Amino acid sequence: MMNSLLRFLVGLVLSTMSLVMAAKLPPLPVWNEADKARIKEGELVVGGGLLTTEAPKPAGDDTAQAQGVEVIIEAVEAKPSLDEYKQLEANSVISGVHLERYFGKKPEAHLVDPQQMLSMQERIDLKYALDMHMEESELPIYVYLFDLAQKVPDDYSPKKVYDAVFKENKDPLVIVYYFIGAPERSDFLLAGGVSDRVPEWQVKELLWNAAHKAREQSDVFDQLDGFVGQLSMRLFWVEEILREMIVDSANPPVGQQAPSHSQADKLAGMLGSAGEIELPMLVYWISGGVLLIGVGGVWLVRRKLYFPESPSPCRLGGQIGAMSGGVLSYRNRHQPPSMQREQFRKDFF
Amino acid sequence: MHLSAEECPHCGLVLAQLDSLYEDFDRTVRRPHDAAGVLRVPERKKVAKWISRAERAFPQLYFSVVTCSLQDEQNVRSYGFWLMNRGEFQDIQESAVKEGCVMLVIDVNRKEVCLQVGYLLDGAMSEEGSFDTLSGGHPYLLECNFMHAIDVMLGGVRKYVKRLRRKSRRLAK
Repeated sequence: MMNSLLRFLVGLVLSTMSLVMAAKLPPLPVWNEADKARIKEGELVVGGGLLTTEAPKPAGDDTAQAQGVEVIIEAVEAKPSLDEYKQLEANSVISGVHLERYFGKKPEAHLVDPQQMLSMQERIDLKYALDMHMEESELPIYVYLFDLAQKVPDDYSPKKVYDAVFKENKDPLVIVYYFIGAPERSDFLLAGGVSDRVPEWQVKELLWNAAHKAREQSDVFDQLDGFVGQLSMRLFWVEEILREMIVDSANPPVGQQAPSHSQADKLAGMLGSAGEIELPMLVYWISGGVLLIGVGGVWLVRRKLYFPESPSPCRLGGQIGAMSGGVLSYRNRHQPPSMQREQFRKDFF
Repeated sequence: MHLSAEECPHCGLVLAQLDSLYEDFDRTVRRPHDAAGVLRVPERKKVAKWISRAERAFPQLYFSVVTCSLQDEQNVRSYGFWLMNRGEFQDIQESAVKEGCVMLVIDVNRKEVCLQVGYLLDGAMSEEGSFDTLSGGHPYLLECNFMHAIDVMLGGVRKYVKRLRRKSRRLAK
């Protein structure tokens, strides 16, 4: 009973839905009388336009062919080849078109990797790291990536690349040739501004530290990331040195402004420069403290102590004094001062 | 003793009575005054140097170290009292006042030591305080090492005089 009722209801619902859907659909196409006649006569094949290879010809084509117009085929520009980013051999020398791509112009980004040796995600991460460095630093880093055993021609050393590409830029910058998987092969150049006055040993130490940090990692990208991170941190101190040098050059010492040749002027200049040597504030504080303690000690030792002028009245006929302290006896070895102290005021005179 | 007593309340002693008792003693007081002859020449020089330094620090005072050998009827306190008032101190600095005497008296016969001071200091002085000052030299006195004992006792005396000065200044206010 229940099953038949359920079937009736489902049938009712389905029929109602089909009626509603049919009401919403657009009307079906209808053959006109002329087409019906052509189909019956076989002049028109249903679906013939889709199943045959001959495209329908426009009405004007027959006339163009009839006139015999020459068709000119022009050469079009070749599509960009996938070989553009083709990597060089692992132990090759950078040459050919890659020289142009590496060193042809000033790089637009801080990461120069025309061989596409990094994956997309690695490139994004490294660019982010370099951008973070640029936000906090005024010393940009340009990282040129090469493969493990690739070699850069001598004519394209960082110094020569700087002269050729970055020379117009007066601000200091850093160029790094990084060989993926061999951070100790990295080449480094700090150039521009007053950077040539940074001690060479400091630059070498900076590079050594960055390479050492990179060597702590086993993955080649982690090595590169560590290298750049360490380089960024170490460059902070180089920036400090550069700032100090800029300040020094902006405010030259008074003694150096006018060079003089007389002995007296030279001596005065030496004394003046000696007086201008900057010492840490801690030294001043310690010196001041020691001086203060010394002066205080001398004052304590040499100070004069005065008694108030209120002497006692004369007693027992004495004009100078009549006061005697407690008598300490050392006659008896077995009578220490602690025992003698109890006998005061017992026998005066 | 009452501060204004004319004579000793116990025995009626006055200074004049001590003149006959110590008439044989030298009234000239050298600094140090080694009447007992227990100090060597370098030791005397050392004590003189200490006295000189102490007098630079206390311009009103004059110091002396006296060694003596008293008889049984004599007493280190009465001898100190008599010598301080009857003695003729040599080479006292001009800034020193008459009542500013500080004298360490050592009796090598009766084996007693005491400290005598003038009226400038006695307002703040106590018997116990001065006794404590000298007690540091007791072990050396037992061994008759007088120089070492004097050295220790003078160190205590200097500190004690500083304390007396502070106390006098408080009392004077």
